[in-house]
Amino acid sequence: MYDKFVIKVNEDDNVATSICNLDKGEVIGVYELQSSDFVGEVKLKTSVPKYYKVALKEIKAVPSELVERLRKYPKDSRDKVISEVGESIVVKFGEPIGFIINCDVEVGEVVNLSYLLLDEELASKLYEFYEESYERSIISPRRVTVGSIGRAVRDLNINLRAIQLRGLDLPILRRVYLTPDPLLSRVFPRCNVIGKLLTSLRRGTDVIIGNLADLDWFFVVREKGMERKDVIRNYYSLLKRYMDVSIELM
Amino acid sequence: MSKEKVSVYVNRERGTIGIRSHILIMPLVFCVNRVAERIGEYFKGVSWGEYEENRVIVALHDSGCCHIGFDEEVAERIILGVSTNPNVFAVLFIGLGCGQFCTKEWKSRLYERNIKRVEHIVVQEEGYEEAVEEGIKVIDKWVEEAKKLSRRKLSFKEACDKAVLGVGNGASDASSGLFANPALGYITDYFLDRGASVVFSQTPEVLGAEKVLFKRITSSESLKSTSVREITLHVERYGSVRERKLLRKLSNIIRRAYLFKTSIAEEIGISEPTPGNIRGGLSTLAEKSLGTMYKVGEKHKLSDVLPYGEKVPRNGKLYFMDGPGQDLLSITGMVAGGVQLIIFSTGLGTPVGSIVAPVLKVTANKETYEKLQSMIDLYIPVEELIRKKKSLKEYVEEEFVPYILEVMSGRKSKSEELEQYDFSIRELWMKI
Repeated sequence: MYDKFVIKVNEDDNVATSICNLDKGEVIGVYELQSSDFVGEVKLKTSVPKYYKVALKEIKAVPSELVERLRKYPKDSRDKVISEVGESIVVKFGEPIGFIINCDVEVGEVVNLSYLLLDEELASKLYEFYEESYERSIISPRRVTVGSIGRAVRDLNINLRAIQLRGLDLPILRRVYLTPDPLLSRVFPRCNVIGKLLTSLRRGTDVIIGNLADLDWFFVVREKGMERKDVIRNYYSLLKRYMDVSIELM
Repeated sequence: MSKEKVSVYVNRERGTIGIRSHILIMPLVFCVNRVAERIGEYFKGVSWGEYEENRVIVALHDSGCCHIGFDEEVAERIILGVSTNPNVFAVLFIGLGCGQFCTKEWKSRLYERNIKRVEHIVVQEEGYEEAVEEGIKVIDKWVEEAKKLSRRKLSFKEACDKAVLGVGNGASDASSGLFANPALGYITDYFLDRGASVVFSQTPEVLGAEKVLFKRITSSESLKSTSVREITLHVERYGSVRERKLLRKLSNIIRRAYLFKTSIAEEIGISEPTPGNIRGGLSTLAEKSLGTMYKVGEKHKLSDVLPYGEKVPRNGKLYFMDGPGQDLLSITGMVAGGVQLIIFSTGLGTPVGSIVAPVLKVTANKETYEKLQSMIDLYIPVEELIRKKKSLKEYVEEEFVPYILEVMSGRKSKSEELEQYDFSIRELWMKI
């Protein structure tokens, strides 16, 4: 029986959790919940604060070229990415909870946010629904009827006949995403989003617009001769002029 | 007290049991909060029941007017749901007269549910002082009736037939996922085994642990899938109609939660875990979510997904309510769904309570328990259990279950002792 020990949940885990403050150099037991027994010991190379994780196996950092490649080709499947970064995955509860980046972690070292940083691209691979949800929001918009865009748009003679825009116009937020999102439409009422945005956004709020520009069939141009790019330009100018917001394209 | 006996209020008309018998004052709009408060103040200190556990409770909130769409629907569902909770003996609705909900037929809607002790006072019709006086008069009469009520001893299994248990978690740290949530899991299984329904909520805390939930859709033993995709394919191919429907519902809810989160907050993995979670040793949302999923036990499969605040069927099955991650809102949603008792795990400690259902707090964090004993009900002495080689399940059944039965029989939970009768109505949109 060890005086001090760390808790490992599943036999596949490569980290365990301390239940008290542990000092560098201490040799502590590893108690596994799955088998309800001590399964080994570990010598600490760093101090480990209470409830922090300690590495039970060496965990290598994700190669920087892989992160670069992910940025270039973000559509690589989750399984492919996970298999490639296998040695960098932190496993707790028998499941991946994150990736080690920046530098390798040795046995007995603390694993905390400074190593277990979730790179955005990597994170999207970890959360299985993340990418799928986002993609669905882009590729399957539905149209709404004339009049639901709002007076603000019509008054400006912006020639959009049918745009589906849904955003969250909570004034407390610093950033607002306008994402053509069919799922949110079930949650939120169909209403005049632009009109409400005009009245409710705080000055200085950032508005991030989904990639409307990529969707040919997303717009129906009412007047002949109106180019799609004009529609988009008009739309952005509307936002700039009336909302005094900085616009960043996703 | 015998381990398997509980004393409860049996309501034959409604076919339910209550573990409390509160009188609720429900303002239908925030404008009349003060009227409700004044009526409540008159009954301050008035309580009844063996442990003085029943009270006149005022459900103060800042909703009830100018809601749009989803918010209107949810606010109405919550007000109606909480008012018809089995732990409520009588309800006094206070309306202003012009609010969104003030003109609705609350009385007849409650009558339809066999709830006869209900009154609706409209301030613009009665007058301000008159409304207060009328309210006091009505409640005075109900208090006298409530004092005459007595609990009936039932076997735990009999009580479970009509009981709905809610499980939740908040202010989590690493100890929550390792011990407190697994303890909740054993309690969940214990109740489900004896015929009670159990509901859990907090959709954002499923993100990153979808697989665990998806595996609960089917009881197929041939399922050895390792990813959501494989589970999905398996259920689509071999699952029953019910399982396939449930799979789609769950998928949609989770996709929406991702979209919602990324639409209004920051990227996934950044907005959660919260600073407190990180301080408590949780580094990523997946780590937090995987830990929280232990609270749903391991024996029973998921029966259905319910909208926020929807009534939970009393059929001894496990339900997931699509609700927000915030403690109080998720608790309120479950209480509106008819939950009589909530077991809540915490790592860093939270005093949160609920408007009509006792909330029992469980922690495995020794410091939290020692510092916050006045608000934590149950503690898991982890080191002691490991040293004595005692299983968590054994400990839960020996120490926690008798306490839970006592609370069901009237003993006050810590949140009730602190008078944490918390209530909040969820709103997504601004009011216009």
